[in-house]
Amino acid sequence: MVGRLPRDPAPWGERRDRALGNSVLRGNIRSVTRRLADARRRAYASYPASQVLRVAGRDAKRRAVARVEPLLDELRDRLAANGARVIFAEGPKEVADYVVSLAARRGAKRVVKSKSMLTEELDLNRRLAVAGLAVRETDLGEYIIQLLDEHPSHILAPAAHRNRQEIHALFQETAEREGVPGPTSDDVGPLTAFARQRLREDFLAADIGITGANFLVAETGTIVLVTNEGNADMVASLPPVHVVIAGIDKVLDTWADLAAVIQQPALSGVGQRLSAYTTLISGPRAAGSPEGPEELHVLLVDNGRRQLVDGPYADVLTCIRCGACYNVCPVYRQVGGHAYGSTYAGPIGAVETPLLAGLDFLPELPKSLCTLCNACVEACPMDIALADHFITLRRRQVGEGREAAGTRLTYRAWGRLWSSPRQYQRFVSWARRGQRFMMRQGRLVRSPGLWAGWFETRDMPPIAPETFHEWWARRAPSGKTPS
Amino acid sequence: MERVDLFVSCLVDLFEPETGRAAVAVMERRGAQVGFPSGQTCCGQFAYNAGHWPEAWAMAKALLAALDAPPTPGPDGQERATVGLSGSCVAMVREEYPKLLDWAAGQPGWDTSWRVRHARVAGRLWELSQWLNRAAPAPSAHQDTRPTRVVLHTGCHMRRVLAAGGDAAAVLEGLGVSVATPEDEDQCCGFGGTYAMNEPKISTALADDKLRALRATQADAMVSCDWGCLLHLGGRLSRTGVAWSVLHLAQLVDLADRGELAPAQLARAGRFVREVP
Repeated sequence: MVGRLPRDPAPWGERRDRALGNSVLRGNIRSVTRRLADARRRAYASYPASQVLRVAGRDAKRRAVARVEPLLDELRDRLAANGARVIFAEGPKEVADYVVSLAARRGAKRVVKSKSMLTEELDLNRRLAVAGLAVRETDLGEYIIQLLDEHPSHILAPAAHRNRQEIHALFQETAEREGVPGPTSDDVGPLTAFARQRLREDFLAADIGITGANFLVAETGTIVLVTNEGNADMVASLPPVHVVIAGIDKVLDTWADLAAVIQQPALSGVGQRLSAYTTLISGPRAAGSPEGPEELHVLLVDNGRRQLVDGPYADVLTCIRCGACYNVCPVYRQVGGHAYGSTYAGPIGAVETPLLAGLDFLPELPKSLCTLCNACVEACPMDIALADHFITLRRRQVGEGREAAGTRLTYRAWGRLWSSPRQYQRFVSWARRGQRFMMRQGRLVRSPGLWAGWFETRDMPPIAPETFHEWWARRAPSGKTPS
Repeated sequence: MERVDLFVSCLVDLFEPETGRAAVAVMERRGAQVGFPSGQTCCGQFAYNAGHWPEAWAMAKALLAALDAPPTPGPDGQERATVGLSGSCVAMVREEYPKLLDWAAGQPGWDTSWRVRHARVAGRLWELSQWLNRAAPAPSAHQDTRPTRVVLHTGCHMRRVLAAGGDAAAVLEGLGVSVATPEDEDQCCGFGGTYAMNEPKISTALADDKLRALRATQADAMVSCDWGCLLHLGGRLSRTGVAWSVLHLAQLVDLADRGELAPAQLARAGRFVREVP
């Protein structure tokens, strides 16, 4: 069953032009992606075991996806035995309904959250707000974009499109509105201190804490959270109720598998050998324990994932959301994440979004957001065949007739002419005759049909007076090079 | 004497035949007997990448048949190689055709012998700089003592799919040419086959970034093993009124062989050297 993802109602051309026209955004994205990509390269180069570990982690993820249903059952049983409530949820509505009714039962009003791309995918904040709940994002980047009423532009660094000056102005404005002292400067220290101060109050007042999960270990029934800020620990331990919302793709088989992959989010994401905080949760507060939530609810969400398990795109489910592919993608570096039009951007987003939500959903993603440079393939620690997926998604779109008739006919004619040497020669003589009307100063400056886009911004040399084929034919009989 | 069949690529054939002629001269100077399988047109990569696989498969079959044809005159038993003048097209035949073959195996009219033919063709197919690095060196006439500096743009398929990213630089260094390294050198130039036509705005933004980095090296010329990237970047130079010498590696090696590699000569040698007002 396909999933439901949020989408920007603006058409692709508008989203693209908005991004390309925003030089501040492009500068911010460029500097963040370059910094993260360089950090990853340095971390791998200085860590002799990195490749061996990466492959072991990849294999652990692949094994888990191949056996996802029995592993989910095992996980559910273990977590239930530890006192957690485990729920299989289909999509956005089921998840939101569950949280809303839980809040009603508990009389809860305030929710704190740690970073979760899945809840972005489920548009959960909006749904909870509609139900009257006050939701506070506590990851620094998520806090920033929540104040801005924006969505994440990067899977790992949600506010990557904003710079320090912009964040300083935002916090000043927030401070004035809330009647508290603002940050003393736009340095990282004072900005972080302001956010920490504001968030502390939210942590202490919250009735429900919502986190995602980076990994779920079936063997031990463990929820694993990886952060660099420590906010997830607060979200998971201070409020009386903890709700984990995780995709079914997060499950791993064994504790050894977790050990194999645990470094990868930080190593491939930010170039650290391990995240600053790695949190392992196995259940609610045990009897006699002084701390921890009274209730633990674990929602295991499908939203279009199950349909991929047995198909050619199953490796997409091994994604660990490190963002390495975003950081090296030339197109992402130009337009940033919002241009993609839904929750996930970068190479994995352009591939995964139509797979989760159906080929009709943002159909421009496979075609317009990838030059097939393969930088993502090189960067992905899980070896997801992103470039192949781009091409086969395009093939499926073409095969299902989702392309303009003119384009289809052009390719058909092009393919027919060029797959026969004789027809190819005929094409050359037609093109030579036609190109006379498209030249200026000896260069091609315009063209009809499929090729028109080229000439919006670039020239081309004309077809040569003598092609290599023609030259060779003239040379061949004697075997001598003609003058 | 090694027999070498030339696989020129459609872009060289149609737009830059001088590169093909330079390659013939370069390979003959290194003792190769050069042949040209005349049935070749295009590897079909543009259609393959755009998702038009029936068309790509038709072109792939034509190319495999051409490159697998028995050699035209030449004694039997000779060692034989095929040399391609595009890193991207060589990567297509060697690394992507197997995926196309797997798909075609499920289509009507499939003939298993295509796998055999592909294995034969792919097994002896090299990109020009790969071949040059293992060929006997030519008696190079390059004696100019003034340093000639070029900037090398390595196409993404050559770098990442063919994994031959270092080969062209090795060829240039062997010729005594100094190779400048641009900032973000492994970043895509934005060509991407039909991507350049489908998404001209993003493609051009990438070209402008790439050109800024390449031009910042102040090299005498820009060199690549792929006319796809070069026509895109050069076409952008042309449209923005910038003149620069843009050459394929084969042309640069040919100039070196002929002792015409002084910076002033190089600056006049390539495509896009004339400013268009």
